[in-house]
Amino acid sequence: MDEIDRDILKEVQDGIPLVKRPYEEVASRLDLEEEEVLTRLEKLKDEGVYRRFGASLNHRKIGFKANAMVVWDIEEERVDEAGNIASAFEEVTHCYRRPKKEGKWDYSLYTMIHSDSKEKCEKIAEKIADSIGVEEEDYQAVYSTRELKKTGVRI
Amino acid sequence: MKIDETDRELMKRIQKDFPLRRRPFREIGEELGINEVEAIERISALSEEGLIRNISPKIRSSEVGYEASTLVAVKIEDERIEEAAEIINRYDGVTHNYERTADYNLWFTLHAETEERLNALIEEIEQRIEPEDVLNLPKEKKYKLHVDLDLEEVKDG
Repeated sequence: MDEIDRDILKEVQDGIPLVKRPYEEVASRLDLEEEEVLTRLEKLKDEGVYRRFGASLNHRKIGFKANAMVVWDIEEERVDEAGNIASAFEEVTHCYRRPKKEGKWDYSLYTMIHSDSKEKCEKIAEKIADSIGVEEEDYQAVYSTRELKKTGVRI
Repeated sequence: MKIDETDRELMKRIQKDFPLRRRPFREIGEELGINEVEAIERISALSEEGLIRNISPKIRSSEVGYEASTLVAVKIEDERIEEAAEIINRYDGVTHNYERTADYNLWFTLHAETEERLNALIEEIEQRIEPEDVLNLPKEKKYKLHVDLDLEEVKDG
């Protein structure tokens, strides 16, 4: 990546202008040619500098499903097994292990569950609990009540 | 705002990828059977309503020098959440920040150049927001990561 690549990324990272020729507009702000902006953006994609060039949507506003973060208190030696069991559920989109903070936050397994409603998320959590073999008091579903920041990585 | 089938198709299409071409909206419009101006107008309306955040490249964190990242859980009095979030959100390495329904009621993701820098930032944030408690919860193992880009289930309104 050179200085011009960085300037282009900085110019588009918060969104391209919604005009007929967005890349020409970006180019003119940087005193470049439209063709150069396009070529460089293609090159940066090929090099894997960014994952995709596309729209970021606000799923919550669109009314896209409910999203629960369910955290699990699992014995140390069973975390991997539980993680694999939970991951097999298609409603589980993310499943991670994180450090248990004894006495403060006794959870070491984190699952993000996507479904149509909060009730359905909880039903799925119950099913996962049955499969793993944990009691009701050993897990909790946490919901986000407010989005205070959501952005991509910025250059 | 009432979104229709075309809006849904449009969001689904441009979420996947947006053409790096001279007239990208014309190409998108052609695929969906609408003209360029209508495509721009619909996307603009969806953006104004906040359904579309923006159209941009999703830059990899390692490309900007971030080699370390973590999830931080904060326990703080409800009435101080906004003030704390304002301080936290000013850090470039903070990409997500949510108020959540748990004892630990504020959760944010943090990226930094190194592990040491990450820990120093957490300490600095802790000193500035003076919460009841802070937990540093880095990922130890990934069992599943499935980013669902499918919008089949998008509902009206």
